[in-house]
Amino acid sequence: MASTAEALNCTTHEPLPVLDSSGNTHCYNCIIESMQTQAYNLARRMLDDWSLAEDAVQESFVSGYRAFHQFRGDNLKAWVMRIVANTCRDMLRSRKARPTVPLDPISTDPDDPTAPPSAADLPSTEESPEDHAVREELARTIQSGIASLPEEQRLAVLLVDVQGMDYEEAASAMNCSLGTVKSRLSRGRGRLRGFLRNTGELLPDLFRQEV
Amino acid sequence: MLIFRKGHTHIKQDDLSAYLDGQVSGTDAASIDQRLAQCADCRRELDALRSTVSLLQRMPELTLPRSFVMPGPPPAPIVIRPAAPLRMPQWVYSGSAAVAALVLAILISADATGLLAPDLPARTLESTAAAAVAPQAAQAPQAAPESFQGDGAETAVEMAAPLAPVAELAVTVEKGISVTVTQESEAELEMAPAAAKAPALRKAEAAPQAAAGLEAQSDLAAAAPVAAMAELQVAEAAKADSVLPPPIAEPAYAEVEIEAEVEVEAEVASQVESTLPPPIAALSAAPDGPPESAVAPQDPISDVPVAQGSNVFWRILEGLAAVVALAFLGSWLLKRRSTR
Repeated sequence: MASTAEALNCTTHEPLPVLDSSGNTHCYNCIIESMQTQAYNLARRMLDDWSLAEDAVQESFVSGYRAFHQFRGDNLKAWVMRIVANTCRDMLRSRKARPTVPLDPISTDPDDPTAPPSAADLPSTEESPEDHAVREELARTIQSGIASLPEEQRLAVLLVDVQGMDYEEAASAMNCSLGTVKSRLSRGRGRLRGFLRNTGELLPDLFRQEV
Repeated sequence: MLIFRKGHTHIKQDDLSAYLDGQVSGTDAASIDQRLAQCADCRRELDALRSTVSLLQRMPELTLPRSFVMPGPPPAPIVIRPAAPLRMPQWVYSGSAAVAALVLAILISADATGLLAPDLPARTLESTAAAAVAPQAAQAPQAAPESFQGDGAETAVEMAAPLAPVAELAVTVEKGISVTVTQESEAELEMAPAAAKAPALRKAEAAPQAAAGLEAQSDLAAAAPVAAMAELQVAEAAKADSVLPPPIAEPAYAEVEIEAEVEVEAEVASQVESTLPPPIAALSAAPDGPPESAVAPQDPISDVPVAQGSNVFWRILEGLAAVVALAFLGSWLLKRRSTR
């Protein structure tokens, strides 16, 4: 959150002053800079489509700018995530209404500029190519597990477990009660656990040890 | 084991999940601890849940494809108002459909009563519909003269052949009648469409020729009345012809006209007979002469109502089809308007 002074002193971007509901001035570009990675990650994992996610984030920030006078200045992250979540819901709904050819899940899209580098073009690090491939495969499996969850459970899991929000923040972002967050999260986790157990050959260590 | 397990219910997943996040109040947490210590299943469940959550937490953060920082304030939201697709009050559509139907009905009825006389050059400007109708109308007079000539002139010649005896009188009578006939046919022709003129004139010319031919061949007076009858036939054919071309005439009207002409013909025939000297009048009353000639003129005319009847039938069908199509189009348009 940027004060008026900070907004005027913005160096990395054009200052974009906005007023919240109590009349405080913020630099909206500062807010974008602090939130865009989380927003993009949420959108990307919610929609499971990198180009749609980009649109969703862009759209969310634009509608956030227009609705900023409603922001009460308490929890910016929850406020932004709520907008992103709503945008994603709308997009999922319209995608359901006009089904298209399902796009590949994360990082298998050859056009995806944000896909992690494959094992082949990975520079030699301490991690062996095999380990890297396994990790990549694991991430892909988890993502497809997340994508298999119902919309609201997915949102709860993403906000709490992936984004690290607490229950209150998640409830604010999801626009629901604490108890709802709790049950959605628990069901999402349980479902995901079942998914990973069924897909399980790749998740040996954690699951074989403990199951 | 069974006894040990008795009374134990597994910890609810919701509670386990919340316990994992430290979102359970003190007393509840203590009871969960206790139950976990007792139940290996619950412990396994908790561990599985924990490892799932840890997997989720270790998900790699995706890198931004680009910065979403705005170069300036975003433009004001563009309210996309769907362009009003030529919205007009309902009565415009229903009214225009009704007017179109009315115009079509008027055109059809005008056409049917011959007002649009499609073959008359001066009137062809009326409509394309009349132009479309023209070929059909043109066919009728073309077809008609052949049959009429065959029926009229030839049968007259055939009838004239056996009647030889009288000559001189015939010339005057024949000429007189032929003049009146041509006058009549001309009067008719003035009212007839242009296309009908040619066949009619042809017959008017053909009549004296036939008469002259008869004169030359037989040179008998008895040929005269028959030739006159032939001329009458041909003139009738011409009249009938001239009536025919506006082919959409209503059957009743056409029949009346034809009946009237039959009467006229009968009058002329009686006049001819009265001007003829007694022997010839007797001859003409003879069984092989006049009865046939009285019947003969009806041949071409008897064809007319049939031809016109079928023509009118098709016209009516055509008009009905057009009206139905128009009504269909109108209702479809209205429906499309209302569903939009």
